Amino acid sequence: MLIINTVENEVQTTLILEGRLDAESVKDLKEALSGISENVTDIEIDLEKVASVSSAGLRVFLQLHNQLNQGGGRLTISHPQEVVREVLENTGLMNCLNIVI
Amino acid sequence: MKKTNDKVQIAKRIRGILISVILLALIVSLLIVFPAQIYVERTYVYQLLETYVEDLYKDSIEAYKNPVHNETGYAQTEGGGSNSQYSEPMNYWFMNVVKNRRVGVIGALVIVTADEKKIIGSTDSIYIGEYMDMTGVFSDRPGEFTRSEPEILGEPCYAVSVLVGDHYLLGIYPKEEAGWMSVFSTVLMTGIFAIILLCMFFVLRKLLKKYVVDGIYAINSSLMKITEGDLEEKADVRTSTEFASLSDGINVTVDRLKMLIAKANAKIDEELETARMVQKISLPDPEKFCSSRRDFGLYACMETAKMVGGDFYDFYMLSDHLLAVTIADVSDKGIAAALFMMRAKALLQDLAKSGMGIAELMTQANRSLWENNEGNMFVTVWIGFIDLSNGNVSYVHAGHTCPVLIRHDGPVFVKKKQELLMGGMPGVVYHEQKIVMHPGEQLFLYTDGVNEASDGTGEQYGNQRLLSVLSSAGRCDGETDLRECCKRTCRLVSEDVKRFSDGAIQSDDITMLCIAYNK
Repeated sequence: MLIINTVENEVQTTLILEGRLDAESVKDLKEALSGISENVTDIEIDLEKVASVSSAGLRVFLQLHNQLNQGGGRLTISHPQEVVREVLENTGLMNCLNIVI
Repeated sequence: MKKTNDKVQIAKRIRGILISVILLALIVSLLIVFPAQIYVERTYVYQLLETYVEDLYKDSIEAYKNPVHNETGYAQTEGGGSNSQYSEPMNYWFMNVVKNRRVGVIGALVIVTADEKKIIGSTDSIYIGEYMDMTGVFSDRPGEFTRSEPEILGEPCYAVSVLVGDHYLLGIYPKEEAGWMSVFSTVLMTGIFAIILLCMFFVLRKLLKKYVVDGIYAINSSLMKITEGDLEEKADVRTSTEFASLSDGINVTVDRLKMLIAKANAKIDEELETARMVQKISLPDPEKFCSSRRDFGLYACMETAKMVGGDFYDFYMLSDHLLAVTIADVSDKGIAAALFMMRAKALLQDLAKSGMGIAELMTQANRSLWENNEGNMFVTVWIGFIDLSNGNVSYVHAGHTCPVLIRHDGPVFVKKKQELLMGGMPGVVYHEQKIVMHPGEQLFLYTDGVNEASDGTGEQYGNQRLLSVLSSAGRCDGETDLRECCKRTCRLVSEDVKRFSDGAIQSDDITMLCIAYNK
């Protein structure tokens, strides 16, 4: 179960997620991302209320990170919980993605 | 939510259809009622006029027969016939007679002289003295009643005329007045018609709702359940033969679909089984690996989840004293993950065997995996080269779970610098790290299927449980069969994880690789 709130301002689009980001709910995130205009260069994904992120979720982060990087924009992952932070650390993504604690 | 919307949609459509039917019926009824009304009105007015004109005709025949004396002194001696000598007294008689006879509400009787066509008497005095010249209005044959619609003093009228003696008797009724009557009755009739239609509308709607709409809702709700994946749902609406046949048709289709899905599933299962087998075959067999060596022993196992996963382990000798071990986990599951896994495994082994340094080979492998990686898959890898002559281990840790080194004083995580998983980003440069294994120590490698195993309530097995179960693993010093020692360690963990999961569905592959070193 994943709830996605999209907040848009002039600078960037923020997706505030709530729930679990797993193989099933990752489809919802992809759908939400595909709804964002191509002109948006900066995207923030807020994980404050996300209890877990599976490898499928990490794949989306990586894909989005690479895609935004190519266009000169950037992806920010913000406020991951302890469990999620551990996953990000273990996979080495902590140092590669732009993560705001 | 969606269901109610559908219901509203259907109800709206049916209401729309009914309203258009009613409107159409109203228009048609107006088209039919109006001309019918005019026909009825004309017939009625003619009959009314004829009654009055006939009465006057009979009276005038009598008057011609029985002479009437008037103040001018003329006398009528013989009755009947048309004799001009009777004109004057008859003029006088007619004038008096018609003065008091009104036809219906507004109609009038008019007497016209046969020769001059001059009006000499009328119910309405405005006509008197006027001349009429209307061919077709009068018939020359006495006693023959003629119906016509002349204009009298510029006003369209219905008229009935007859010739008697020297006079034409004429009954007229203005059309406009008759028309008002007709418009009124048309409106009345249309109103009644509309009320009848409205009643029909409600009755029809009720019937439609009972026999059609409710049936549609029931069928629709069944279909909705089927769409949502409940293939056990049966459509069962029997209010009419059409619905019964529709229900049967749906049920037959769903049954057939169920059969086809089962067939397809069986085929997919078969193919997945093959894929799983191919994957298994691609992994090296620990039982057959360097079983004669006494300086090390290893054991590996993989318990696959239902879906084909992307876990793999690998081990091979790079030289007589250099053992390479790898454990890895490809993101995602299924055939694509399995194919990516094969690719990664072959790539790493090829590069390692080419004599490349461990860090360089990982950098190179990442570059290759990154290219043509349309699916944005990635693989977490822990790869190590173990120098069996001194126990030095060079390794690269690419986003994988931390291995456990089972030391003499207990298990510890090998946790130094963790680098990025492979295939996810271009241009990653990996770094070589080192640990030392002492004789009798074991290195335990595993995938997240172990530490992330769930007990069904969401609780994960976790690192602490892993450490505590490994602390009870016996030491391998003095063992003659180091592989047996590693096998025991793997079983210990495997059984502990199973106990923890307590029958919960295993969602990920559980893969372990254990190496015991003995100088």
